[in-house]
This record gives sequence, C-alpha cells and structure tokens, in this order.
Amino acid sequence: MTAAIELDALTKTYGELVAVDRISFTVPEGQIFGFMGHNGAGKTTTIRMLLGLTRPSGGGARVLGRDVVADSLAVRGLCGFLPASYGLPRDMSALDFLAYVGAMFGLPRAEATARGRALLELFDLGPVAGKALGGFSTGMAQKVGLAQALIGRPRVLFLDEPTSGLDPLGRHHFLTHIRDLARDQGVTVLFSTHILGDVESICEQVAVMHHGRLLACGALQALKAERRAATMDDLYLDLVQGAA
Amino acid sequence: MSAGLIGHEVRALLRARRTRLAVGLMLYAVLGAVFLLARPPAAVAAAATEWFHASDPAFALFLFVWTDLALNKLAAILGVVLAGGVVREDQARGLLPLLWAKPITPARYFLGKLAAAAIVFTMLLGGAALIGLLVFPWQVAGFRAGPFLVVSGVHLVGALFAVVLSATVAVLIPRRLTAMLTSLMILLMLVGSAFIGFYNPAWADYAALNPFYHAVWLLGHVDGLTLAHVARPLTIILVTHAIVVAVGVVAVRRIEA
Repeated sequence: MTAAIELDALTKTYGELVAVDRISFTVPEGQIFGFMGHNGAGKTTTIRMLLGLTRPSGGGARVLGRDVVADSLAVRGLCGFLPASYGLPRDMSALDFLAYVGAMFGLPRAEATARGRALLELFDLGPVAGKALGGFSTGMAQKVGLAQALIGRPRVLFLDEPTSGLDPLGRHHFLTHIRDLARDQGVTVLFSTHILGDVESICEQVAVMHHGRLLACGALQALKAERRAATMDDLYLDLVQGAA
Repeated sequence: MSAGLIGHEVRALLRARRTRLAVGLMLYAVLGAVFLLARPPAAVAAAATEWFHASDPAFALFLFVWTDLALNKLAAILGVVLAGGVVREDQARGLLPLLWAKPITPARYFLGKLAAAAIVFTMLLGGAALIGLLVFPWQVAGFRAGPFLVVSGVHLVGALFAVVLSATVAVLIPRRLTAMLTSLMILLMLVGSAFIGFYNPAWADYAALNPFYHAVWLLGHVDGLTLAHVARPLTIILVTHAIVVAVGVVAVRRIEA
C-alpha cells in the first residue's frame, strides 16, 4: 500500500520547549488514521507542519510524495484541513464562503459555486446555503468547516479535533461522513482527537502522542492485543501511564 | 492571488457596511467642494492665486479645493477604513487557520486583500470624480474637464497611498486599532504637509516624497499640462507604493495563522 503521509524524525522546538520530538510514522493511502493524544500532546503542531504552516525544527515529512517544506503549496493543494479552532465570516453566506475558498484552489466561479452547493446539500445545509454564517449553530458551522475542507477535492484530509463541541447526533453524522469519504472516494484522513470512542469507531490504524513524543503506532486491534487492552480507553491509559 | 479571488474580495468589501459609509463620504466630498467654492476662505483663495500662477485663478482655486479640501482628508480616512484591518481582521475572527491552509501564500493573500481595497478605493474616488464631472460644469465658472480629470487621476494614484500604507501598517502592528490610528496619524500628517513645498520652495524636493503633494503640484501647471508633468509624479508615487507594499509582503510572512 502506498504511503499518503510519511513523517521522518519530525521535530518542532520553541526555544527550550520540545513540542514535537522526532516522530516518525506512515499513514497508508485511503485510510482513516487516528492521531491521539491529550491537549498539548503535539498533534496540532504536527498537522501544522504537515501543511507547511509551521516550519519544522528538524526531520522532515512528505504528503503524497511532496516535501512539506519545499513544496508546501502543492501539498496544500492536495489536502483539506479542518482546524480545531477557527472562525467563519459571520456576514458571508455559507455558499459565498465556499465559493471563496474554492477560488483559493483556482476553481472558476461557476464551478466553485456548484461544488459549494453540492457539498451543502450533502451536509443537509442546502436550505440555508444563502444565509449568513453568523446565524449558524455549532453543528452547522462544523459542517461548513468540513465542506470548506472538501471543496478542493482533497486526497488527504487533516481533521483536528473535529467532533469536539458536537452533540452526540451531530458527532454520529460527522463520523459517518468521514467514513463515507474514505470508503467511497479513497480520501486519506488523519483524524486527530482525544475522544477515544471516535477513534475506536472509525480508525483502523492509530498513533498515540504524549508530551511531543510518539508512544505507539500501528493497527488498532494489534496494539490492543499487544497491550491486552479490551477497549481504546484501556490502551490509551496503559500507554500514557507507562510513559509517565 | 487570482482575479477570481480578488473579485470575491471586492464583492465582499462592496457589501460591507463601512463601504456604504464611504460612498456617503465621497458624495459629501462632491457637494462639499461646491459649498466651499461658494465662499472660499480668503487665505485659501490668496494661497491658490500666489502658488499656482494660473491664467484662470478661479479654476485653479476650484481644483485646489477639490483635491485638498474635499478629497485629501477623506482619502486618508477611506484608506484606513478599507485597508486598515487587512489580514488582522481575519486573524481576529479565527479565519487564518482555515484560509492559509489553502494553496496560497500569505504574501499573495495580503496582495489580494490590498488589491481589492485599492479597487474599491478607486471605484469610490473615481466615482466621485465622475459625479463631479456631471455637477461641476454647472457650478464652476470656466470648468475644464481635461485638466480636472488629469489632476483627479494623479490625485487618485497618489491617494492610493492611503490604502497601501494602511494595509502595510496593519500587518506590521498586531493590534488592529493601534495600527489604524497609526496609519491615520501618518496619513493626516502627509495630507497636512502636502503644501510644504509651496510654503517654502527650498523644501519642494522633500515634498516630492509625499504622495499627496503631486496632484497639488500639478495645479501649478494646469495651463500647459504635458505628459512629462504627469509622468514624473506618477513614477515617484508608484515607486513609493511599491516600496511600502514590499514592506507589507515581508511583514505578512511573519504572521502565524
């Protein structure tokens, strides 16, 4: 299986603080890959480095064979990203915003609008496509967030804590969309979260980070068997407490 | 940044409440020029006659009132209003993590925003000049459309400095309000000192560095305007713009999404 994402001793330091400490792993193409760790573990910094938004202090990484530093624009052209924390332009309509993001990918106006409309329909937001984003609920805004990540037809999708703040039904729908994307369109998903139940429900492989270090990486079932963990919670606690 | 993206930025800016306010300001500029010309302050009329040596002092006075009293101060405010929050506004709204993860560099993003603000600024000032072209022939004795358009055009290019400077200061100073006030202060100082070369001709060379000086300088040549009269100020203005934009491009690269 070809690698969609390859990290090789990727490191980020801020002065004395080591935010990401020489982590290496590979994400196979077309998989939903769980990227776990508590808040501050280094997940977001890693994703930002993979998108060329933050310059690594050491090591390197490639996304779909492109170097994330030397070729960051090409990487971003192939990827979608939903950050953990973001805002939407309150005075813009959902459709206008998606068309605007589409233009950033170089899509002609008509195509960007059509694609934006199709995504809003997919996420049941068709009836409110022309409404200002300022009036959207958290769940609706998160769907627009996912839609903007998909507008450029990404081959790799980086989702950073995408289900935080969603109610159980919203979370279920969101995870279903992610699963469908990987299954139907072969999109590789790097799913960063600290909600272990989400990882267990949709990920085949996982990487666990703790204080900037990679504690474990591999097939979820194999890791559970290796650690004799019945659940994802047991596995995570075993890894983190073992590292403390 | 592509033309399509700049188009989106322009449309968004045109829909913004502050742009509607700006339209009101520009209409006020046209009407204000008519009112000011009806009873010009004696000191202004005397200065216009003394400085510009025009064959038609009344027309020179009108152009002076139009460029300086009506447009200059509004242009300074308008530049800050349209471009004083460039990039920082999106940063404050949490949009940068989304938008800068797209295949666009911060520099191109900045340039796109700046271009959109410059286009809207041009539409507003150009629109005011066009409305003036309809109004002034009926209000200003001896009105000549050619010199009016040339002076207005050079003034517009010079006044675009208000947009360029405001955008650059916005990315240099993290606090939006501080950046906007800094830009406004600098711009009003430049507008206020646009005549320094007339008060003291020995300072005329230094005054040439002030983008707001050149349209006023042209007023002294209204009777025999040539391409050279226009080319020199435009060259100086465009070089100044380019330097300030380059500073902005360097500054925006240091902003973290």
